[in-house]
Amino acid sequence: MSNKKVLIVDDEASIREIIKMNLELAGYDCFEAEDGEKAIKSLEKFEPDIVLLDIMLPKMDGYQVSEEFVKRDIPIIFLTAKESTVDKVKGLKLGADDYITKPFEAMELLARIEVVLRRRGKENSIFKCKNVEVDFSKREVKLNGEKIELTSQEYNLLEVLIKNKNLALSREMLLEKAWGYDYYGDTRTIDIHIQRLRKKLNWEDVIVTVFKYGYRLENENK
Amino acid sequence: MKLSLKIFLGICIPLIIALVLISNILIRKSFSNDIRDEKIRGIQEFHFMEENIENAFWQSTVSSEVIIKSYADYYKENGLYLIYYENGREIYTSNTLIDLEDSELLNVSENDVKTQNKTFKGEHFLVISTMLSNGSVLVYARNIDSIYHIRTDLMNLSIILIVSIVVIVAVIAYIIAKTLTNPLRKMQTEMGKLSKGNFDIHLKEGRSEVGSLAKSFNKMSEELKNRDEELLDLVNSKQEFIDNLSHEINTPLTTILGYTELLERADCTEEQKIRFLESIKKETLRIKNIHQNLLLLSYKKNADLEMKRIDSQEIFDNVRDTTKVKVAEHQIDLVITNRIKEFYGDPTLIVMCISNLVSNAIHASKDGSKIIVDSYEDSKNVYVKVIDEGQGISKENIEKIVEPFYRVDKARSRKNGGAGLGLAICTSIMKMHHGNMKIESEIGVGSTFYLEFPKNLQL
Repeated sequence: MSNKKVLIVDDEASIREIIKMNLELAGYDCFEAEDGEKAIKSLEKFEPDIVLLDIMLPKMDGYQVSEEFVKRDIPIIFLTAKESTVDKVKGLKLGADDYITKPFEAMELLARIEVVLRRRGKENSIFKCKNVEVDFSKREVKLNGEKIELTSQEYNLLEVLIKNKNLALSREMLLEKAWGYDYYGDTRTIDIHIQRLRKKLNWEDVIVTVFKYGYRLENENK
Repeated sequence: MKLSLKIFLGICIPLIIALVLISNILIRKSFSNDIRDEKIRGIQEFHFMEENIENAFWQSTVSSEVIIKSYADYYKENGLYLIYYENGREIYTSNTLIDLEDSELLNVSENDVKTQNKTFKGEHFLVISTMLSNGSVLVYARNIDSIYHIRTDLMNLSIILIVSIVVIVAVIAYIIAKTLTNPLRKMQTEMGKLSKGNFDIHLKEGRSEVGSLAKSFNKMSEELKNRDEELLDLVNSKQEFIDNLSHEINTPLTTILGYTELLERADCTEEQKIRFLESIKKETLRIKNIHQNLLLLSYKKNADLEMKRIDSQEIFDNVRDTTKVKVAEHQIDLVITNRIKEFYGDPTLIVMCISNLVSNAIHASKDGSKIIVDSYEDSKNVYVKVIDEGQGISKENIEKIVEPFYRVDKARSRKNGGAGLGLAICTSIMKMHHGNMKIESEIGVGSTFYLEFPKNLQL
C-alpha cells in the first residue's frame, strides 16, 4: 500500500513546514497550499487522502473552501486558534471530520489523522520494515514471512512506535500510549520490552535509543 | 397602603366624621333649646299656679291639702303633677313615681324657685319647687317625654341619612380613587416590562403631575435602551478583541511549540536546527511585541504620560531615524516639512504615532515611491499630515482599520511582522493627547492621514 497523501492548507509558512516535517517522518506524502484558491487549484493535480485546513485563511475563508473537499468526499480536519464551541459546531456541520485547535502537539495531530483515515477506511493497515511485516487489522507480525508470537504488551508497544515513527517517544509517553495511564509500572519495564522487541524482530538498529529521552523507530520511506 | 384606598378613605372618613359631628351638634343644640323652652314655659305656668293656690289659701276655708288636691286633679289631665310638703314631709302627690326624699328641691325659700330635670322609672319630668307663704313646699312636675322622643327621632333620622349619604359618596369615592390611580397602575405594568429587559415603553404624557411623571419615565426608558445597546456593543467588541488577540498569540505559539517538538524528537539536520531555533526566537519576539503594544493600547491615565513642550525638529528627526531602515530597504523618498514650532505632549508617543503612519505608508506603496510628512499650525491646534501614493484603502475598510488586529491584507501584513495594532495604537495616542486622527483615501490613488494635536491642554 502506498503512502497516504495529505494536503496542508495554512497561511503561515512555518506552520506548514512543521506539519509537513512531522507527517513526512510518520510516512505521509505532503502537499502545501497557502490559501483557499491555491488549495482548490491543487486538486487538479492530485487527490489527497485527507486535508488539514486552517479556518482563518486570507481571501477565501476556510469554511467556503471546505465545500470543495466535501463534494469530492475528501475527509477534512480543521485547524484553528479559535476555541469557541460555535465555530467547532459550524465546522463539523459543514462536513469536517474533526477539529483541532492550535497550538497542538504533533502526537495529537498524527493520532487524529489516523482516526479519520481509519473511519473512512483509508488507513494503511500494513507496515513493512527490514523483513518485518505488521498487519494492524489482524494484529499479526511476520518476520521473513513467518508469524511471530508477541505478547499483547509487546504488540501495543510496537504499534505505538510504528505509528509515531521517526519521532522520539519518552518512556512515560510509551507507558501511557501503549499500556494506558493506570499501569503502575516502573519505566524500566519499557526498556526490557524494547530489548525483547529488538531481539525478536532483529531490529537492533531500527529501534534507536535517544539519549536521555527515550526511543525512536527509524524508518526512512524514500 | 394603596393609593386608591388612601383616596377612598380620605374622602369617606372625613365625610362620616363631619356628618356625625354636624348631626350630633345640631340635635344636641335643638334638644337643649327645647329643654330651655320647657323650663321657661314651666316656670311661667308654675307662677300662675302658685298665685292661684296662694289666693285659694287666703280665700278658702278648706284645708290646704284639699286645695292642692283639687288643683292637682285639674292639672293632671294636662300632664302636670303637684306634690305638697309640709315640714319636709310629703302630704300629697298626684304622681307616685316622683320621689324627692333627699332632693335639693325641698330646700327652697319663699321667693326662690328651684328647677331640675329628673327621671323616674324611665319617665322624664321637669320639676320646679318653691316655698309657699305658709311655709310649705310646693313642687310642680311636668312630663317632658315628648322632647326626648323628638330627640330620639332626630337621631334615628340622622343615622339613616348619614348612612345613605355615605354609601352614595363611598361609591363615588371609589370611582374617583380608581380613576385617579389608573395611570399609576398602567405605569406599573409598563415598568414591569422594563425589569424584564423590554425597553419599548411609551406612557401617555400630559401636563398633570402623573403626565409629567410619565414623560420622565419615557425619557428614562429611552436612556436605558441606549445604554443597554451601547453595553452590548461594548461586550461584543470586547469579545472580538479577545478572539483576535487569542489568534494572534496562538499562531506564534504553534510555531514555537512545533519547532521545539521537532528539535526534541526528530533527527534534524544541522541546517534545520539552526533555522528552527531562529524561527523560535523570531516568534517569541513577535509575542513580546504584541504584549508591549497591548499595554500601550490599554493606557488610560494621562498622569502616566510625560507631557511637556518638545521642539518639533527633534520629533521629526526622531521619526526619520526610526524609519530609516525601512525607508532604505524600499528606496522611499521621505519628505518631511516642518512648519511648526513645537509639540505639546509625550515625545516618545508622538514619535511612535508618526512613525507608525510612515511605516504603514511604506508598506502600502511601491518601492521607490514618495511619502510626504507635512506640518502646520493655527491658534488652536498643531497639524501633521502623512501622505502616500500607495494602493489606498476602500471606504468600508477605513472605519475598520483602526480596530485592534484588523488587517486589510493579512498575508502581506504578517510578512512585515505586523500584528494589526499600529493604527489602534495611533488612535490611542491621539486620545491621550486629546487630539484627533482622520483618514482620507482612494483606491489606486493613495491615502492621507491627518493628526490634530490641541495646543492648550488643560490637565
